[in-house]
Amino acid sequence: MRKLYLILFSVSILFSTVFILLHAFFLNYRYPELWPTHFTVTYWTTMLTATSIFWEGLRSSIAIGVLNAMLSTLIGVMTARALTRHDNTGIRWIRKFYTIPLFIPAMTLFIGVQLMTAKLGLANSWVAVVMGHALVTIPYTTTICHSFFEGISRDMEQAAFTLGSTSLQLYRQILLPLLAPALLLSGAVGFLISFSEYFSTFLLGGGNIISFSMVMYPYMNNGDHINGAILGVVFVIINLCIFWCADALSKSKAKVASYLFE
Amino acid sequence: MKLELIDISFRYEENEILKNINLEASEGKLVSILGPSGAGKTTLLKIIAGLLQPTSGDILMDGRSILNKRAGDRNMAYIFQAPTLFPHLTVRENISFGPRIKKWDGKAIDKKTNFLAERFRIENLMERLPRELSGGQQQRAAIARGLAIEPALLLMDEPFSNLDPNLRADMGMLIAEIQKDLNQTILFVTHDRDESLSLSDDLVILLEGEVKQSDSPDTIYYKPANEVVAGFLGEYNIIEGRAKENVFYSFLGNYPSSGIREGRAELFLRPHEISILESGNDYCITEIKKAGRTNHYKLSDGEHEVLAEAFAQFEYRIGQRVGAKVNREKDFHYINGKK
Repeated sequence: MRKLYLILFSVSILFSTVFILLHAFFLNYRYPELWPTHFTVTYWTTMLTATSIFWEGLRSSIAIGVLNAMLSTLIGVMTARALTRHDNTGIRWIRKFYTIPLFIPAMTLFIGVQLMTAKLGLANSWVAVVMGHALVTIPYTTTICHSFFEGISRDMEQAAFTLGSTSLQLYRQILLPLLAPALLLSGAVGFLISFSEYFSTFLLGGGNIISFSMVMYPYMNNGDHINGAILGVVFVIINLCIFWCADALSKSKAKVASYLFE
Repeated sequence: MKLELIDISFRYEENEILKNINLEASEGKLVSILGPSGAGKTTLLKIIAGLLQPTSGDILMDGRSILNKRAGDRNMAYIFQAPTLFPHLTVRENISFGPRIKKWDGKAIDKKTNFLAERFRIENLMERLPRELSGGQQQRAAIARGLAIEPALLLMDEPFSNLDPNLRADMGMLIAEIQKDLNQTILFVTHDRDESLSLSDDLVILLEGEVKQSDSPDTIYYKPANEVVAGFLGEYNIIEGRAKENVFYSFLGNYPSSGIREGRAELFLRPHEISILESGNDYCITEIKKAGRTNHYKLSDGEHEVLAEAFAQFEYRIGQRVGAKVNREKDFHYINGKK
């Protein structure tokens, strides 16, 4: 029975991906045809060689994703350390509410960011988009880093201080090597969430920033299924690559940090 | 090197953790701070190390205040209760961590690391990661790491509490040996009275955030400042009597009492200072308490009670009639009645 559930679960997840794959390589695959017949890669060639917006969108999304991964991981690490190493009224409040951006409707959250960036003269810019994305990803990166920090004893940090280490040396020589799996995972989460964002990029970028998901949307909206599916396949490949790389790297680093969860 | 704490107090929120602590540690001495859990021992050690700031008071090292120095500049090493080796570094890298941070010459680092590895008998473990070591080996490596920076003061916070009794004894001997050989000043925090009595040159009794007595272990054990200190170090007898013309008269016999006021006085004796005499019949054994290889026997003559100690192998029984004799011949300690 458990196997049946597993199969049903996998099929339900993979079903849409299989359809995207079929649409990306077969022309005019429509109901009531059972199997696709017209295999083609012409659309792929055109998309990859002659469509400049494809590369522009890809470049923008990767750049925003990397920036967001770095920013939200940095803030996540620092927040997590404060949450595990200090205890006062302010910290207790942050502990309760740092996940709140996940529960506020996206529209409210991003309009708030837009109003703020407009006041700072940063509206419709890269900075506004990265800020918006970071707002969504920081709760995730903080949660990931928090669980790792809880495994690193405070005594170990204090031992390093008494041996002469500065805060910077503590981070470089002790904390970062131990936190490597957490950094990789939170970086991957930061990138993947940012890479998939459509609405926030559209709203905060004001049309100046064209992300990969923004390139994809018009194709699907106009019924150009084959080009939409091609972009969908690229989307899935990039996401899976990032996920697998982060997973493999963090597992290799996890050996070092395995003591944390013993 | 001489460490002096002057009126150190520490308050956390509404709680006064330490109250006007005054303490001294001279070069080459092992000073134990003994107290129950929650007495403020670790807080005191962390204040000395620079990991916490006191609410008031000063810390002097060779007469100079070190209160404004950060932990790494105080030339002290801190050994925690659990071995805090860096898990991603080998034992060698752990031991050489401090000297590397302090930018010692490479040869000097190697020399120091190898010397300490040999002293702590961990030469064959140097390339291993901490998780590949036993608890005792990890703690030995942690102490070696602390000593690698040649600290003026080694602060040890119940370093053997996670080890089994045999290993504790071995580690205690190793520390005593290292202390003598390196002339290392050590401040040793413990709640184990036997450990503190056997290891220390000087002993400080810390109870409820206050130093209740500070002296040599023997003095504190046999001449406690008050009954609280006396009770903390184990069971004891207060023999009531009267002092007159330098003699103390009591139901247990008469003893020299020069230097105390005439009149009512109380003689302090530990149970092992009173022997049981099989030949006598003045007392009846009313209670037997196990105390390791020895037993404590409560003796009663109907009016007074006294606690004596004897090896368990003698197998005295409750209800048996026996005699009692004080072993001490001089230097008696009277709790009340001092001039």
